[in-house]
Formats: sequence, structure tokens, C-alpha cells
Amino acid sequence: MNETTYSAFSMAVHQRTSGKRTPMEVSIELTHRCPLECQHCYNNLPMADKSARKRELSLAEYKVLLDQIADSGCFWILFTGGEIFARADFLDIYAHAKSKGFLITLFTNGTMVTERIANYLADYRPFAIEITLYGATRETYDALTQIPGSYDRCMRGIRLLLDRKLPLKLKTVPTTINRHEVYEMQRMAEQDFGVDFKFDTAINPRTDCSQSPIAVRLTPEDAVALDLHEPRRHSEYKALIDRDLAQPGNMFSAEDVYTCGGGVSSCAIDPYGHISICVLSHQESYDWRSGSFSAGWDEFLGRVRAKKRTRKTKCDSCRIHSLCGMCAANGELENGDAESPVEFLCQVAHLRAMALGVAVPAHGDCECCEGGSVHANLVQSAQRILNGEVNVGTWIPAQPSVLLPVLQQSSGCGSGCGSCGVHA
Amino acid sequence: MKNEAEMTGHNHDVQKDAKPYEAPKIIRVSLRPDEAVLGHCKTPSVRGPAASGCGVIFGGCSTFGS
Repeated sequence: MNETTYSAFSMAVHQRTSGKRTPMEVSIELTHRCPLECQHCYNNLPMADKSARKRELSLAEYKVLLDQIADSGCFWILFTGGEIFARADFLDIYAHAKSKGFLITLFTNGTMVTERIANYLADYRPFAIEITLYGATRETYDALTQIPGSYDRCMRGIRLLLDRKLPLKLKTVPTTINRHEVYEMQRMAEQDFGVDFKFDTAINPRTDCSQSPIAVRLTPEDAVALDLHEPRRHSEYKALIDRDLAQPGNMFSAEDVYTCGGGVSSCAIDPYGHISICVLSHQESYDWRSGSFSAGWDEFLGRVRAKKRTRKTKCDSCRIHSLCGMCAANGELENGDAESPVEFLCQVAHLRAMALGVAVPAHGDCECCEGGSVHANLVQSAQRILNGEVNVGTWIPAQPSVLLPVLQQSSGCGSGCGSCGVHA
Repeated sequence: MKNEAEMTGHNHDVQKDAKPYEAPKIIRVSLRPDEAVLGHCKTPSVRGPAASGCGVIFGGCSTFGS
């Protein structure tokens, strides 16, 4: 029998659909309920939220939905949350997805993994499992999750999966609570558990418009210092920006509001059956219960994805996109406007460039560029990073901080964002 | 008397232009998520090293890994 590598296979599948709108990858949020109360999370709800549970798609609905997704040509499925194992019927949903032949990735915090679940997954293997670590120590982990004992349950879950040689990866989101343990988490993952590890400093406001995650978001200086502390990441960022600047112009410039794969090769479905561009973008969504997956993909998301920008921004002529996390969904969450640049991300990108020794070409009215209101601060930050004054290795645990208030508990954010469901 | 093509409805000219039949082949693929072509991330905003597939072939879109 002939054999091929997975990368060659995946490349061939993607190339076959390149240039066409095909939902090859669908992210399914099975629930927003979660046993943890992580301070940085963008969508978690309490386990006991009966209202949320009642609104979630049923097992029977998921079977129909997965059938329709399979018929549309989808190949890769992500089950995420909330916490996927918060649904008592998760394995039934998973079993149906397996029967359709999807390659399935699971995002979980690992705390609800039992022997029964691990055995089932060993018998019917997923393509990949990713567990988010919230700290390398019990104190830090439980401080961020706000649930005593959660660290121990997570470690047990990791062991149960690794004992069965399941395809596990670990990752984290650095925050002000756990920033001092990021590289210890990496050591744990790679040396103690023998698995890959990654981190991403991106933290968004919640999809219900609360700004509460921002209270634990790293400052641009800390985020960049953490990023560039590791030589491999430093050199990869440098290679990316060198490639971008070697181009004659802004290689990401586009007329479309959405410039990613959302609505072209991927989409997301929330626990209530709303289909959208991605898990972060909720300003426009299609109610699957009122139609079908193909109607949502072909017609609704086709229209959303084709939306054109209404105005120029400083991002249009910016040349350091590869150092920046800005996208339409981030604009929606942070500013209530998909086209509006996110100042935090702009500062991080410019600081990355400065710390890499890259001169950012002028690109219009930018607060971070020379003459802008935050330029001098960024220059000082870059200098501190380059001088080794921001030493990631000497960071100490954060003092308890006061969380920013939830802007609106039940009546929406007031900005017309479309994300909190009140403006629709 | 009808010939075979007339009886079966087959058109010999069309058959001449058709691609020769190839028996289906089974190709074994080892499922290795570490070889994913597009990147992994919870949020699709990631650029740079956090997104393993970012910018490699399809202009920087990172999804959950495929």
C-alpha cells in the first residue's frame, strides 16, 4: 500500500479547495459552561447556568448538524467550549462526528477527563487534543482559574491521556497572574510530559462585551519581553518581518473587512447554533435552527465575507502586519467595530518591531510611530527590553488585582457591538 | 441488426476521448498533528511564531490546525 505524510496529504486537500469557498474546518463550541472561572476567558459561563444549558443544541440537533457539515465537504472539526466535557453527552456527540469521518481536534482544560473518557478516546482517537495550562504551580493555576483543586484535576487529566498515548499538546495564555511561570510551563510540557508547548499573549474582551479579561492582560512591554525571551521566537519574528519588509508594499492590503480564512475555508458555530466567521466574531451570525448549515455557509457567510471596507485606516499602509494580531474580530470585540484598529495590538506590534531593531515605515496617522502620543513610551520600553531590564526570569507572582467591572450585566455594552446579543 | 454501441447507448467517439480507467488506490496517511499545514490557535488573531502555519501558504490565516 502506498503511503504519504500527513503534511503532504493536508497540503493536497487545502490546495484542491484553494480559491473556492468550502467549509473545510468548522469550530464547534459545544457549551460556554465551564467548571473553571478563568479571569482571562472570553466566553465562559458557570456550570450551573441552567439558562445557557437549556439554550444549547441537543444531541439530536448535533447529529443533524454534523450530517449537514459532512455533506458540505468539511474535513476538520474542532470541539471547544467553554469546557467540552461539561456536556454529559459529549462522547455521544463525538461518536457521531467520528462516524462521519472527520479529523477531530479537542480543546479542553483537562480537569473533567476521567478514566472512562480517556479509555473511550484511546479506542476512538481524535486527531489532536490541546489542554491549556494556567500555571506551573498549584498556587498560580488555582489563582487564575479561581477554583481550588483545579490544578490537581488538570494534572490527573494530562496523565490519563498520556498514559494512553493520545496526541496531546499543552499551551497557555500568559496573564499578569501566571506570566512568571510561562517558561516553567514550557519546561514541564517538554521535559516532564514530552509534549509540544506554545503560548499566545492575545487576550480579548469577552464576547458578551465584558472588559473583565483586560484586567489580567499583560502590558505591551511584558508581552513583547516574554515573546522575545526565547531565541527561537525572536529569530522567527525577525524572519517574518524581514520577509514582509522585502515586499514592495503591504502584502496584506485588501478591500475586504475579513482577510482571514473565516468564511472562506472555516467558520464557527456557538452552543446555540449560531454560525459565524470565527469564535470571536459575533456581530453577524446565522441561526442554524431556522435553516440549514449550507444556507448559513453558502448564502449568509458568503455575504458577510464579501463585505467591503468603508474607510481607510492606519492599518492599510502598515508594513508590520506579521507582528500584529489585528483582525476584524478583534476590532469587533475591542472597539465594537470590525474596521477600527485595536490600539493595544498596534502598540504590541510596534514594540516588537522596535525590540527587533526594525524601523517601521510611516503609515499615516499612527499614535505608535514617530510623532505619535505613545511613541516615546514605546521607545523607552524597547530600550528596557534590549537592555535586559525586563527580565522574564526574575518575574515574581502578581499581587491580587482589582478586576475591571463588567460593563453591562444584562443590557448590552451600549456600543452597538452586536456581540452581546442585545443590539441585534 | 443493431451493433453493440447502439444497443448499449455508448458513443465510441466519447469513449475515445475519455481518460483511461484507473483503479482506485488506497494511500495510507499517518495522522500527525505536528505536521499541520495551517496553524493552531484558540483565537484566530495570532500572528508570528504562536501560529505555526501563519503566513506559510495561505496568507496568514490560523485556525485550529489542519
